[in-house]
Amino acid sequence: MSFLIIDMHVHLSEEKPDSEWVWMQWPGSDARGITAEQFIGKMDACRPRIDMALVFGLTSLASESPERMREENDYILKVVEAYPDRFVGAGVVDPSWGDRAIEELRRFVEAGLRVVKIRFSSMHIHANSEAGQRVFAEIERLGALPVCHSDWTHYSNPLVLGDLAMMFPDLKMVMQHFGEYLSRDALSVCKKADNVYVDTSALVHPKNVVRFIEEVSPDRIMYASDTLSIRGGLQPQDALERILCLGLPEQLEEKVLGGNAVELLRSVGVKP
Amino acid sequence: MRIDVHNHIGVDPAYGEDRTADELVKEMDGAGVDRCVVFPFTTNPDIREQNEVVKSAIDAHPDRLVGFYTMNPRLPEMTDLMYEYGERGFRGVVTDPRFGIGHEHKRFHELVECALVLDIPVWLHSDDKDTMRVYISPLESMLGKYGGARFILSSMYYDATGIATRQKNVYLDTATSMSGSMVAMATQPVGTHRILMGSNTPYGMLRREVGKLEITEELTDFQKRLILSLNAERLLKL
Repeated sequence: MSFLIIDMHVHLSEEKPDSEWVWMQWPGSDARGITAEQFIGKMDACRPRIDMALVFGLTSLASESPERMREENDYILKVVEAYPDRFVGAGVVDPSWGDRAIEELRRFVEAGLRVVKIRFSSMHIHANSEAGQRVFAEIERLGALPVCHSDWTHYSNPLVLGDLAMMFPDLKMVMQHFGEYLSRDALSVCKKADNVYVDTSALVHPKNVVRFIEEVSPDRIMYASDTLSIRGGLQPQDALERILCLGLPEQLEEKVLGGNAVELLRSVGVKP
Repeated sequence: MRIDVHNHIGVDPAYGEDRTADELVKEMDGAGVDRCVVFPFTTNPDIREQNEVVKSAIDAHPDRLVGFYTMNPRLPEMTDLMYEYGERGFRGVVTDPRFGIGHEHKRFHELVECALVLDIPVWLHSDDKDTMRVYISPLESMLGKYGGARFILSSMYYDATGIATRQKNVYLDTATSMSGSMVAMATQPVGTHRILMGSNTPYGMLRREVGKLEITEELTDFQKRLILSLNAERLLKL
């Protein structure tokens, strides 16, 4: 491929000592999580090769403490500094921490993470709640880009996320997972709100990519895998196949696999 | 051999699809799929007309297509129709609560009883988040009540795996699994012997369904064969 391929949804985890692992997990279970170096190995092994990825933390999506959020975001800052050609970083914010969430948001944006990951259903807060609006207002003030998990729950289904997005019409946001099983709701929201983008991670039926391109826009949909572990679950090659199997014209394939991500990231000052 | 158990043909009035058997067979050729189970879109209330579309399809492609008919449990002549369709070469029945008859309803149970006597599988939606909600308790009570019947619980949502773990007469199809790895996760509690490749064409794609299973490292070659064909051959007596 003669263009950049960017995976817009990857959770990285710092390697932890065994003692921390065994405290949380049942005996015999496989270690989960994937480090920066392990994911680079996967990016290189993919066909076509993945050039870059948007990376963020995993375990602090609903954070047991603000310090935990900070610790994971610091890891992302570290890997972005170590591999600037491979990673764009996003900081995680758990809005339930109120002032301390805002404080952490300001800290990591100022430190260089200009993308903000939020997973409202993890902390059981409706995306369009006051807490959600407060975080979005601060993200807009900072000129950053929110990327929000979507699913079928009360907290982060496409309609609730769409409501939040429409309160901030000048703020672009990514509805990750294309609404998961609620893909029709996601399409409906994106037709109305031109500040909403989708990623293709966790998308069940690839034909919805075509539907999005035809009914909404070819410019607001981006390849993503939602990789969060070294094996199993969702993996980048399988997520690539989900796009490649469509046989899109090269110009559209380029947009979905990387071109749209480049444009969106540039809009918040990130140059992939 | 590759067999896909979840394909719609005919007219879908809700979503504007009009899918022909020839289009499906062309897609099968492109994806290397040998046989497909076909049935109407369950959004179409005119089951007689749509079942005739399926009948024409299986007559035109007897070596490629296996026909299931849709049944609305509200019809007074339901069991007569089921016998008739059986005699005309259909191999299974498709229904779900979108006809307004829940899994707990007497008429729904009568449909299952007739399928049991006719020795055909019953194809059900599980809880398709895009289109419908299924109440699990009455569904599972019904599945347990008819232990001798065989059910295909379509669309492997999270709840479906738990149901199939408990109810040993339930097969799952792969239509809504996001990846082959997620199919493999269901093999731990359910067993690979009750999982069927199902793509939900024309909304899904045969090529994608085959691809996501074949790329999966967590399934052995034999387990892939089970999902891709052997389970369907056994269930459908092909």
